[in-house]
Amino acid sequence: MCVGGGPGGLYFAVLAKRADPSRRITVYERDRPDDTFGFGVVFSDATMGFLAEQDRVTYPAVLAHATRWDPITIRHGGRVVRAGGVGFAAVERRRLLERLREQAHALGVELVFEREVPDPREHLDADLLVGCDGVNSAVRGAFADQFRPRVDVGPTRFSWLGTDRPFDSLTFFFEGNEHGCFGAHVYPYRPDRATFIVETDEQTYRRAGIDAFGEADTIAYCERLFAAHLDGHRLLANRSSWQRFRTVRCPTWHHGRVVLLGDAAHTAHFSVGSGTKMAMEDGLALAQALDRFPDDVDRALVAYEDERRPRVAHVQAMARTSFDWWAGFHRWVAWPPERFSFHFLTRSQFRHDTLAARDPAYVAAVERASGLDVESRVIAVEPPGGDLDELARLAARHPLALTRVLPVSGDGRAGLEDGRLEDYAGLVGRLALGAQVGHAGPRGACGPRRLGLDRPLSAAEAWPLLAASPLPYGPRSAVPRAMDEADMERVRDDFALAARRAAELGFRFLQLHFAHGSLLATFISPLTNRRDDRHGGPVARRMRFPLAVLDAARAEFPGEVAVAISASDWQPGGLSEADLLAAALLLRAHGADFVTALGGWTTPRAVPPFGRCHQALLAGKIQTDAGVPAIAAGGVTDLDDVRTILLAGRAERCLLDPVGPH
Amino acid sequence: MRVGIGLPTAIAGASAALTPAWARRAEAAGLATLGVHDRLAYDSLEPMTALAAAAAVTERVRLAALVVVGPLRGGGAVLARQAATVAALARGRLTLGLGVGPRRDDYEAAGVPWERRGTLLDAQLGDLLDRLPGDVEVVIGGGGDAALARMARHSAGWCHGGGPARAFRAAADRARIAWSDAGRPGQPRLWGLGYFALGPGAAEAGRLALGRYYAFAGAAVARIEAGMLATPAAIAEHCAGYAEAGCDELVLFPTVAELDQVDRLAEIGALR
Repeated sequence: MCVGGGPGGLYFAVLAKRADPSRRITVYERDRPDDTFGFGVVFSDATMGFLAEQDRVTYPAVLAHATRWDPITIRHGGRVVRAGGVGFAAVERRRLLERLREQAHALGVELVFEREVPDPREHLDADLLVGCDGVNSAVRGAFADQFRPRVDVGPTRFSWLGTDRPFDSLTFFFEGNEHGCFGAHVYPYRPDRATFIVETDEQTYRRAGIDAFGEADTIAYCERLFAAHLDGHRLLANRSSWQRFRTVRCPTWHHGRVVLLGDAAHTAHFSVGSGTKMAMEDGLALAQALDRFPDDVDRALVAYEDERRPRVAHVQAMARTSFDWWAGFHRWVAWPPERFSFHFLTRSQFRHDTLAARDPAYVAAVERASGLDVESRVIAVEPPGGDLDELARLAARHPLALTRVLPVSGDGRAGLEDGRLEDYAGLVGRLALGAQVGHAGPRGACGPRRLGLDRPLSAAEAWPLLAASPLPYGPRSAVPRAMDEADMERVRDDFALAARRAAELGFRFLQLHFAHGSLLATFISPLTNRRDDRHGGPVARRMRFPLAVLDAARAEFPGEVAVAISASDWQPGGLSEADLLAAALLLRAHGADFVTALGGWTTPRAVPPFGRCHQALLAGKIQTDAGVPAIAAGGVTDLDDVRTILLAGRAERCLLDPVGPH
Repeated sequence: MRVGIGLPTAIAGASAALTPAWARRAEAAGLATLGVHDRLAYDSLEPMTALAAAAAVTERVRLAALVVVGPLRGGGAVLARQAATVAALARGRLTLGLGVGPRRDDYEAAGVPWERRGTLLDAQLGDLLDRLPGDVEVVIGGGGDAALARMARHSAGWCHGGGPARAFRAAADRARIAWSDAGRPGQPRLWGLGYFALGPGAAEAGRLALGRYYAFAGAAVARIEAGMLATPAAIAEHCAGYAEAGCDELVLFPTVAELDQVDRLAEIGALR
């Protein structure tokens, strides 16, 4: 039996009944069949294709008549920007439900309306209890101890409206008034109807007094706000209260004979696709799993979850970055339209090359408007094993090339094969070089990295290690000594000396490496700083020693100075976003010209989300949220990646990491 | 890029006696590598034992476990001893691939909690690396971020799970990014996989075998079956795509347990 007669539950019921007509399936729905919530439901071309391929019976009847559109239109700052080639389709939610109900009825699925299921635990005699009862799922609630749901309440406020103004594409509006700024997501699903979701930040919501609004107030306010875009058409309400988006995650979706599906199991911010889409894909996967293991429900539920979990995790990851954008858009709403739209479109899925392939004219306009000479913003880096010839080649090709990380002192070495500033004396006079200096801290005294990371040297070869707190880096690492004030003075002076030496040798740029679990990184991350003196605790205290080192080095180096930090530890309990912004502002206040957004490797348990430009959004936080010039790093593999980052204004410069087939 | 062949150890119903004969034939035909899969809850040969048999009857061909499901084998000590034994028998020709694998039923069969697979593999790796002889090449399998981080920390390379060349290329890029992000010099050695069936009637038999082997994979079975290489031209194209994407070692696994498959594969000129 299914609790909840939304699209996901009905679709599952239809598919399961069709596959085996001997099944007795009952769907309970607390509302009447003609109650409708929401307006249209959006599917990407990819989803439509997937459903069409997997289901040749129900799909054509239910979804084939969807409204399809190609471009995304962004109306912002009095300008209209259109980017083509992004296929979507939408159907009216009411018609989708009607067709699914017709099919369910024809197949002999029992549909029971206006029936709450007060305690799902009383229905455990069913062979299978499907909880497809939405974000507030009663079924999930009844088995909360087993499903252990985590619900994160988002920072924005939104209201789900409709409009009768005709639209020919997925459209986004951004409008401001005396209270702040608002965005609208508009999805046309009929020639004369579109879903119209209005979203804003908490401060604007409060200044506008929306918390006291009824439905009519909301309509009146939003019609006034978006009057220039509505061309005299109306906004429509349908139980349109203001809400905060709740992201639901559950470590498991099944327990015994109870299984969750759709919003009951997981939600993702609507800006990356509809929950209905995921619910219908769930329904399909569950029906297919039951067919595959007709005599073994337990295995079928495991198979269902194995099939769907990675896909849902992917959507939730994209939704997270997209939701982040919507939570912060008031910060960049004043940007020029081209940069604003490019920043918007590259917030989670799209990149410069994918957009350029779909709509070259749009991307060319963005490039022209930016006035950027992208190649002049590239910084190359010497290979980590050290290669002076390669460094010379890189420096000849790019405006600036950095050395690998060089230790500021003997006890700051990572191992026996580290370089020295003096190694570059012959090159630095004729090439534009920057020096990278650091102290390996608890990751020191290790064997060569070509064999693997953090393999300690033998006791005879090793030297004592330092860190913020006496925590060994990995399970095989030596225990470092927690630094005392005398150690700090000495290390600070070592950095100052290295900075002076770099300047004397003729380096034009200096990057202090405070990342990846090295000595200064151990002060910055709460995972590795357990001190209870003035160097431990809140971020301003954890930053005290790194800032002292920056001050000392800054005083000795006349050129530009960047500080590289692990902008995320990519690990639970690591540096928070608020701490990142605070750290970036402190580094800037102490004279850093740039903050470089490296990430991870704080401990061996860090798991960065590896991929093209995988840390660009962290640079974006530093650059746009903190207002500190950022250098993006991590998976910036070619000039296309550089364009993706720079045209969106997420960084001033990029560290190029040219991986590729050798 | 070098091209090798899988041993017929995970084709249900195949005779164990076929394995040494297959190994001899593959080496004589000049193929670069003999690969094995690891599957517990299925009619198959245990991979390290099968490699020991192959080691005993060959001289030059590389022996590669692609990949062993580490957590099924307890701590690192037993697996390290097994690997050291195979490496000694093979005089240093062993590549030991390690991963968590995609199948819960293997864990249920071994009585190992599926939920702890990542933690168990990390602990095992720490133990294993201390004990393995230096001539064993360790590679890590798996496409998730945790697998890539593990690869970049510990291993010499990475093994893709199989698929078309463009999927390999995208996954290999992520592996190279992880490697570089970790500050490892050079590039990871990249291993690719494929399935093939050559000759009259072989494609149908091969798809049946894949359907049985991948019954756990749900909707993905159709994709895996469709990706099976059933003609010399398809194999040549697959090889070219993988080579271009930077694959170092491609191992094509049989789906039909007949010795003629070795010759039919080795005859394809594009392999060299």
